[in-house]
Amino acid sequence: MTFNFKVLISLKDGIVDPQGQAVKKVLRRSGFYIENVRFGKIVSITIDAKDKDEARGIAVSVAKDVLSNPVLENYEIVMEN
Amino acid sequence: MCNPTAAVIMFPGSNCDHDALFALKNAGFDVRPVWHDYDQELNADLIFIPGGFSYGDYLRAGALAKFSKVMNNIKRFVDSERGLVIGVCNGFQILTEAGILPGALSKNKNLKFICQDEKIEVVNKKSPFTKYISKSFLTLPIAHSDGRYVIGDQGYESLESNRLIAFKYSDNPNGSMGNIAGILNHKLNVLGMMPHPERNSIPLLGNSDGLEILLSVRRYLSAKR
Repeated sequence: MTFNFKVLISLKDGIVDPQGQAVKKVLRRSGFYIENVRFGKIVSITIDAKDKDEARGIAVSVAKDVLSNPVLENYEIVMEN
Repeated sequence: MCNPTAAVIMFPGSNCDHDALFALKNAGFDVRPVWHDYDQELNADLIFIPGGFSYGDYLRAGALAKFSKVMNNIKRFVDSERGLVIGVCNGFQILTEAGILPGALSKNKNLKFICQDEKIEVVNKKSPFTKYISKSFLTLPIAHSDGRYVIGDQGYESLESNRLIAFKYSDNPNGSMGNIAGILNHKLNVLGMMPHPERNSIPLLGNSDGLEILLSVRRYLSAKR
């Protein structure tokens, strides 16, 4: 069976996000009063596994060990089907 | 007596590899380039992981290079203390991503790519990389946008108390924690640093301060034999 996940990766508090700062500046210049903008990444993954638990386990290791860096980033896993 | 040997690791996207080969040769090493898929035991006195944009900096700087075959061999090389490892710039980022050195390199505080000379203080003078440096301060070029060294409070304390900070910036250009420009591992056989010693190894390229580090390694290796 295949299972689809979205891995959401965000920068931890205190880590500078230049993309977010640049976009915030432009938004404010365009008249949108935006308090804060932080960029992250969404990675969609499809996993072939025997059940949901096994698939989630694989997704967690991929998110933790490869897709994110624990010093700089947090991750969250959302199952899609 | 034969010269010490140095292997320069080349990843797709490395761009300081030839500078490293040139500088190490100039410092008296027998040098050879090693491609990233090299899967045999590494035999060299020094492994140099150069700067650049390995794998296009995709995912994060250094994040994909850590999965190269050669990296497993480098981990074994470090663990079994077969020789020394220097990672410069992207090489430093790869070493932190691979967990060989603690912490991480994040975006510069001023959000800019910084390319300029920096004065750095030699803080730890007892490692193979720094022991024979004749000066207290070196001037070396930096060229990075992800050079701000970050580590948790506990990790930082451990670096300080174990004297594992090799170099500090005199005038912090990128917002690095504790002005850190380079760190050592516990076994003192790995050095990671953002400034580029290989880009300032002959007087024509500046003041040849980078040569001090490479010569310190060479002298240490020669004394050990």
